[in-house]
Formats: sequence, structure tokens, C-alpha cells
Amino acid sequence: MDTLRMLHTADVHIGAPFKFLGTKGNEQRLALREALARMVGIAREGRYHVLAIAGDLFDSAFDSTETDVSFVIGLLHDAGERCHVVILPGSHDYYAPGSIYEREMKRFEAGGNVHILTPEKRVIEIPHISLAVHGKALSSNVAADSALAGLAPVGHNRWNVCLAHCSVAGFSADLDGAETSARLEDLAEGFDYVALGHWHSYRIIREQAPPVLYSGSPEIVARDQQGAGFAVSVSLSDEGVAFERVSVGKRRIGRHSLDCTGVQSTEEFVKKVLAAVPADPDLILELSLGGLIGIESALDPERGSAELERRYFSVRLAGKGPSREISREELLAAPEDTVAGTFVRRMLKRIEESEGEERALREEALQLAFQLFKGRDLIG
Amino acid sequence: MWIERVALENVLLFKETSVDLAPGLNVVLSPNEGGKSSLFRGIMAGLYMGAASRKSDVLALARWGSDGLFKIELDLRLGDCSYRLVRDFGAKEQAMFRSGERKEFRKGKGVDEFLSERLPLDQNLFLRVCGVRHEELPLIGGGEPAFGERIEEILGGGWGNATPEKVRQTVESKKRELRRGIDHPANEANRGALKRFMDEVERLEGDAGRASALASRREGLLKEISGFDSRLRLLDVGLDVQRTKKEKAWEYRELGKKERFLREKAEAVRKRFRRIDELLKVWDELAAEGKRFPGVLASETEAGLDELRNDLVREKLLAQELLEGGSSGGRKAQLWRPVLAAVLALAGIAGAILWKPIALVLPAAGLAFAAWHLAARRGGIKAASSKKRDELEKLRERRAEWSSDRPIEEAASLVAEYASWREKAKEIETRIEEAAGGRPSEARALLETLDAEYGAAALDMRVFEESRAELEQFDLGGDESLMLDRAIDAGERERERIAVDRVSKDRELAALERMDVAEIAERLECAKEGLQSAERKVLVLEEILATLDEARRRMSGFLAERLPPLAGAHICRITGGRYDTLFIDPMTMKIEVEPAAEALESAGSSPAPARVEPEALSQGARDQIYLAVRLALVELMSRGERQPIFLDDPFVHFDPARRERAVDLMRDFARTHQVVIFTCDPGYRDAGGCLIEL
Repeated sequence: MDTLRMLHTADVHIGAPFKFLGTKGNEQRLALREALARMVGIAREGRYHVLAIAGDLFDSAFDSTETDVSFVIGLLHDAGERCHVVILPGSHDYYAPGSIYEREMKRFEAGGNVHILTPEKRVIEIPHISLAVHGKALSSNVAADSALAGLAPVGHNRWNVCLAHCSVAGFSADLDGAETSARLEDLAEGFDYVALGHWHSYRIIREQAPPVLYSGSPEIVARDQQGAGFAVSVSLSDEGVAFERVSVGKRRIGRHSLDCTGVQSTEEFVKKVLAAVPADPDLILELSLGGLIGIESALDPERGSAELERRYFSVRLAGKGPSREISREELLAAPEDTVAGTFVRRMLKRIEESEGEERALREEALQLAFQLFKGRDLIG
Repeated sequence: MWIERVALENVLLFKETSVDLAPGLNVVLSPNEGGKSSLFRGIMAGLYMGAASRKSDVLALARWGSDGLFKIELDLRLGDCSYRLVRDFGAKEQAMFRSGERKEFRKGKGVDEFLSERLPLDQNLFLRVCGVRHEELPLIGGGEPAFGERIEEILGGGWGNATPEKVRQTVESKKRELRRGIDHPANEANRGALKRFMDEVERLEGDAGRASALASRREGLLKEISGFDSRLRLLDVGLDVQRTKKEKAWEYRELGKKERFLREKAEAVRKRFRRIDELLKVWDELAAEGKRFPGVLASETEAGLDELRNDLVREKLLAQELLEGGSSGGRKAQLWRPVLAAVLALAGIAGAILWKPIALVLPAAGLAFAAWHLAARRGGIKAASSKKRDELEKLRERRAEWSSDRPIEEAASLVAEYASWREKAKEIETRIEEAAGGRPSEARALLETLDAEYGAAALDMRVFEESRAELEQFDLGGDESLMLDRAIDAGERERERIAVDRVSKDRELAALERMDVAEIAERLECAKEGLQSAERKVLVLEEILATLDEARRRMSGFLAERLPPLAGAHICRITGGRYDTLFIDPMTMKIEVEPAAEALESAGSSPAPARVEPEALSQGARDQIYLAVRLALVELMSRGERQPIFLDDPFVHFDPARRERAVDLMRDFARTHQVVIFTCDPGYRDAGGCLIEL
């Protein structure tokens, strides 16, 4: 064989909850399934020899639904006899007594093309393509030792690929305290490619000798990682190893900052957002609202966000939103010896004494009360 | 605000009238039933009653006999603008025009809304403060709890459109709406957002807890089942080893039988082989012996051989007969004739003896027969001799043919020998058939098979010997065998027990409710966000309420601070210094008065109680106190828009001096406010201001 073709993915997280999407979570779970189906389709149609899944195919080691399990097994078997699927249990779907892979091993392997690495079985050889896939399956949700240490290429195979589900020292930030990161120095000589999982965004850790990459999640699973939505297409040949990013995700996260200065109403706000970010049913939009809005403004960002949910897949407001521009002259027009005048002066004083959320709360109180004194009810 | 003109059509006493009022002091002079009340009520209706209203107090304004069709026009001055308000109660239409404009700028309900925004006092309050008939004067100090608050509302309006109380009520109402179901029980459908989200969060947290517990239980069960499977696998391996050992031990015990069987089998094969072999040898010998017999004999059947033997006997007999010259055969053939003749002769003799004449016939018949016999015999002998010679010749030819010209005796001996050989061969063939199950030719093939079988049996024996050597290690003693049986039994029972436990766990797992953990988590997050938002809203409302209450308390102090001195100054002026201090509860407007110390001393009267309620004083003094408080309130409430005051014979019970001072006060007051005094006393003609006589 001149060239071995491999599709590298990880962190599909089938069945994951999406708290940040609220009631749209179910749709996103379906999108995860669709992303996996797309990858299997690419692997089959693109005549790939291997589909390598570097951990966290499922979101839970024990609690995945039978529907999800059956769907995944059926799909992977559908990859065809020619395309072998190698699964590395990760930190979410780790291999343990009673876990999904231990329980369903026979069903997975019934198709003949699906292979699962376990803590005991650290290498899977596929002789007819002269490939050995190495990896240390996790047996709990925390990596106990380096994911790369102790793995050695099998000499009689033409290709040796390493799968690992881990953070990499020096490259992955915000590690879990209990987590141990892998060190690239532990990687033995002779591997042709290192497929990483655990990091949800596409990321090249090392370009060559051998390439070390995170494929990222094929679909959005967290709001803070914008590099999701890809798989990595890898070609191993005598000329060397080539890889490229393949887009497989449907949804994307868009972050946008909007200056709300001068916005007088929620409707105006909605129009302004739509003008800045065209409507897209697959966009998860995170809006950071800034600027100053007048005390008279009837803008309700929450209501606007609910309105925009119909134009995008999901809309979330980030940050504390626009500040109220409090015109002291207008407020202080109320005579001091009136209840309204006294109210305004007391409230302004309280606002000055507070900060953060408390300040925002008092600003809102002042604005609502001001409108009430004017005969307008914006409380809703 | 001041009223520039009042035009009434079919209102109470007036068919049609128009009254112009001045911005300052106005004295409306009229005798009893002259139209003062009609004018006052017309002004009130113009300010506060919608043209479409069909309330009885509105309908009661219609002039007697006018069929309820009446109309009121007011020219008002509000701020810097003049407006004309037209209410046509007959047509149920109303409109407002800006001064100099012919087209209305408000009509219908718009008129009421406009007035509601611009008139700070509602009708009730206006009647109690600004437009009071004489008999209602004491109501200002009635001590009603809401009254002071309502006055305070007027005082609190910073921007004019909503009173602090209204703001408070709105906020309180929103807060109550949010918290509905928390402070007091409420139907599920009526619960506020806070309670709904709290319930939702509580329910979903319960669900999440239950789902988490179920997930833990599921994980536990899966681990247990996996553990059972592992133990079952280990047990199966152990049991397999033990069962194999038991089988081998049994095999070892069964080796004797097997050996005997194998040996017997080999011996049987061997014996059969030998027997068949021996028979075949005999058969071969017989075959060699049989070669000396002519081939014709071999082709003859048993019947053929018998015929040959008979031919030989016949040949021999014929040869003998011919040699003797007669045919014994012909004699034998006609013997019956002499016998019959003899019988007939004897019968004739017997008849003669018995003397039976008929019997004589019988010897004659016998004689006839005898004669006939003798004649026939003579001719027959010649013919028979010729036939026998022919027959003998044929027999001889035939014998020569099959026996190669052997003599008759030798031929007979050959046939006899052949028959004997043939008998013997047949017996051997039968025995071969019995032993080999086939003819001798087939038996030879069988011998080869038996030889192979014997070889296989020998091989079996060799294998057997080898396996015996292998199985010697399983030569278990009785105790050891018993222990093995017990171990297997215990293992199987253990396996069964684990299998039962596994099935039980499997069933429990299958029966375990499955909850959508992901969806619950997402909905819980939504509910928490909703709860947080509702809680924040409550906090915002509470912040408003707290600050508003603080401002109102502060303003309440302001009223308490401002109203008594202002009213005190007025009462002091009216009473000429008799009273100079008023105590007014700003919330209830309960009034107390304290006489001035100097006034008491100059009067030489005993010290009065420190504070007295107006009811303890004379009617005149009471009316003066109420007037002073009312004037002070109108002043305080005229912060945004100056309010007019309408007084119905306010000085009826005043003594002349205090009346004079009061009129003087009113003239001063009229510099900043419109004052309309209704009176039937002509003495007010010279009070100053605008005199209107109805």
C-alpha cells in the first residue's frame, strides 16, 4: 500500500448535556449524532482506511442511552469492511467494569471493523494495511499517568499511530487540578502520527516528526471553544505524513460586541443585532453589550435576546450589558422637597456607594422607578 | 390652574349662563337658591365628570324639565396655556381646544386623560381641600388615615404624572405578582414567576437528584453485573479444569474395560481371519481335486446327476436282460392276466363247492384269460427285445460321450465320487459364506479387510497404552475423587447462585427508570436562570420600595415640618394672635391647637391645656382653624400648578373682627391663587376682587 488514509477525530461526546443552550440542548445532541454520521460518511466515501477516535466518543461511561449506543454501533459498522474504526476510551467514556465499552465490546466488535483499545490491550494491529494503533485507554475519568509513556511502535508494521486522550504539558491551559498532562518527551521514537483528544478545539501541537494534533470536537460541545467542528484527514506515505483539517460541524459560535449607545427600544436593539450579524439558524451567538443607554430607553436586552433566538440557533448575553446613562439634570429636575425628588437623590447616592451587580441592580431600580413616576411601566 | 370662565346650559337652576372669573379674588353673591351651589357643582362637573357618564350624581345636574340634556364649558388656565373644555352631557361628547383654535386637540376619553395628567388633585381631594362647602369644612381635620397620605402623594409628585403612592402600589403589585404563592397559598395557575421558578427548580433539582441517584445505581448495577460476569468466567474456567480432571479419572477407571474391549475386538478379528483362511484353504484343495472330474459333470445339476446315475443303472439292467434273453419288464407288465385267471379259477372252484351253478362261469372266464395271456406273451417278447437293444445302445453312446468312454462301472464310480466331492464343496462354501458373509471370492477381499482391522486394533492398543500412561496421573483415590466431586458440586452451586444474582441485578437494571439527565440538566439551568432573573427583579422592586419608603418618610417629615407653621401663621392672623401653633399629624391630618401664651396672659384667663382639638373650641374658632389648614395645604400643593380654592360662606360663624382679618387674608391669598367665595351676605360686596352677582 502506497498511502494509508486516516480520519482523526475525538471528543464527540454523544449524549452530552448542553446547559448553555437551555432548551435547545436536545437539538445540539442530535447535531452531535449528525456530525458523527458525516464523519463516517466521509470515511466511507473518501475510502479512508482508518477512522481513529481519540477518546470521549460518548459523554458518559455508564449512562449513555441504548438509543445512542445502538446508533453509534450501527453507524460505525456502516463505515464498511474497508474502513477500520479504532476507539480509545477517554476521560468521559473510560473503560471500567460495567462501562459501555466493557459491556458492549462484543456488539462493537461484531462488525469486524471496530476495534477498542483497553487498559490491557494497548495496541491494535491491522495486518493487511500494516498498521498498528497504540493507545492507553483510561480506566477512570482522570488520567493516572502520562498517556504517551510506555507506548512503543511495533517494528513489523509499516505504520504506527498513537492515540491519546490527554492534555499536553506546555500546550494545554486550565487543566483540571487532578489531571496529569502528557509530556511529548515521553513519546517513543518510531511513531508516524499522534492523534490527540480531550481538547475540544483543533490545534496543532507539533507539525512533524511526528505530527501531534488535537482534532477538536466535530461539533460544538462547549461555548468557550470556538475551534470545534473539524476532523483531521491524515495521509501516511513514503513521502511523509500530510494532514489537513476537514470541516464536519454544523453549528458555530459567533461572538459579537454591540454598542447599544442611543438604542431606545428592544425592537431597535434587535434590528441593530441583525444588521451586524446576519441571521443564521446554525449560529450560537454570544453578544457582549456595551455603551450607554439613556434613562428613558425602553431597551430590555433579555427580551431582545428572546426575540433573536428565532433568528439564530441560540443567543446568549455575555457580560453585564449596556450601562444606563443617567442624566443628572433631568433626574434632579424633580424638586428636592418632593417624594420623587427625594427618591432620586437617595437612589443616586446609593448607586454611587455600590459597585458591580449591586450597582447595576440599583441603576435598574432607578430607571424603572423613574419611568413609573413618568407614568410608564417598564417592569413587565 | 385657574378658571377663566364657566358657561352652563340646563344645569340645575341655570337654563343658560356664563360667568367670567378673575384669576385672583372672586365673590359670587347670590341669595339662597340663587345659583351658588349650581355654579359650584357645574364647575366640579366640568373639571371631573365625563360627558358619557351616566352616574346618578351627574344626571342629577340636569336642570329640572330639561330631559337631561345639559352642557358645561370651562375656560381653564393650565400653566402658560389656556384651554376650553366642552362637555356636552346630552350628546355624550366632550372636547378640549387650545385657546384660539377651533379644532379640538383632545376629545372623548382623551379629554379625561389630559385632565388626569394635568390636574394633580382628584375630585375627592379637590372637594376636601380646594372646593368645600361650609358644612364640610371640618372634614379637613377628620383624622382619616388615607387623607394625609393622599395629600402627601400630591406633595411627592416630582414629575407630576404618577404619585408616589401610585408608584408604590404598582411596584408592590408587581412584587406581589412575582411572589404570588410564596407569602400566601395560590393555585398553581395563579402562582407568580418567582414561585413558579422556585417550584420548577425544586422539582428539577429533585429530578436531577433522582436521575443522579439512578445513574449511580445504574453504574453500581453495571459494575456488579460485570463483577458477576468476571466471577462466572473464573468459575467456569475452574469448573472446566475440575470436570476435565473428573472425566480423565473416569476414563482412567474405565481403561480396564476399554483394554478388554480392544483385546476382544482384536481377538475376534484374528479368529475370524484364521477361520476364513482355513476354509479358503480347504476350498482351494477341493477346487484342485475337482479338476479331475469331467467338465460335463460340473455343469450338471443335481437332477442331471441323478439322471446320469439312472442311465447307468438302466444301462446295466438292460444289458443284463438282453444277456438273459427276455424282458423282465414285459413279464411284469402282463402279470395281471394270469393272476386274474387264477382268481377266476379259484372263484369257480369255490362256487362248485358251494353249489352255485352260476359260479361255473367264473372258471371258464379264467381259462379264457389264461389262453389270451399265453398268446399275447409269445408275440410281445419278440418286440421287447428289439426296443431294449435300441435303448441300451443310446445309453452306451451317452455314457461314452460324458465319461470319455469309461466303462460303466468306472463311470458309475466317477459319478458317485463327483457327487461326494460336490457335496463336500457345497458344505465348505456354506461355511465360508457363514464366516465371511460372502462367496469365497469375496471372502478373500474380506481377509484383507480383516487384516487391516487387525492392524488398526493393534494400533488402538498402542494408543491405549500411551493414553494409559498419560492418564496415570488421574488415578485418583477414593477420597480425592470424592473431594473433586464435592468441589465441582460446590463450584456449580456457586455458579448457579452467582447466575441467579446476576439475573436479579439484570432485572433490576432493566426495571430501573431511565431519566433524561441531559435534558433535566438543561431545563434546570433554564429554570435557575429564570429564578435568578425573577429574584433579581424582586430585589430591584424591593430596592425601589425601600428607597421610596425612605423618601416618603422623609417627605412625611417635610409635611409635618411645613404644614403646621404655615397653617399656624394663618390662624394666628385670623384670630389676631389668639392661636399661633397648630399640631398636625401629617398622615391622618389630625389637628390640635395651642393658644398663644401671650394671648392667654392678656386675657387674664387661666392657662389652657397645652393642646386642644378643634372640637373643644367654638364653631367659629373651629372654622378658622380648618380654613387656616386648608389655605396652607393649597399653598403646599401648588408647587407645580397653583390650585384655586372655592369657599362656601366660610366666615358665617366668624366675629366681625376675625371676619375682617380673614377677608384680608383671602385678599392676600388671592394674589397667588384664584379664590372664589360663594356668599349670600351682601356685606361682601366691598370685599374687593371681582364681584359676581347671580
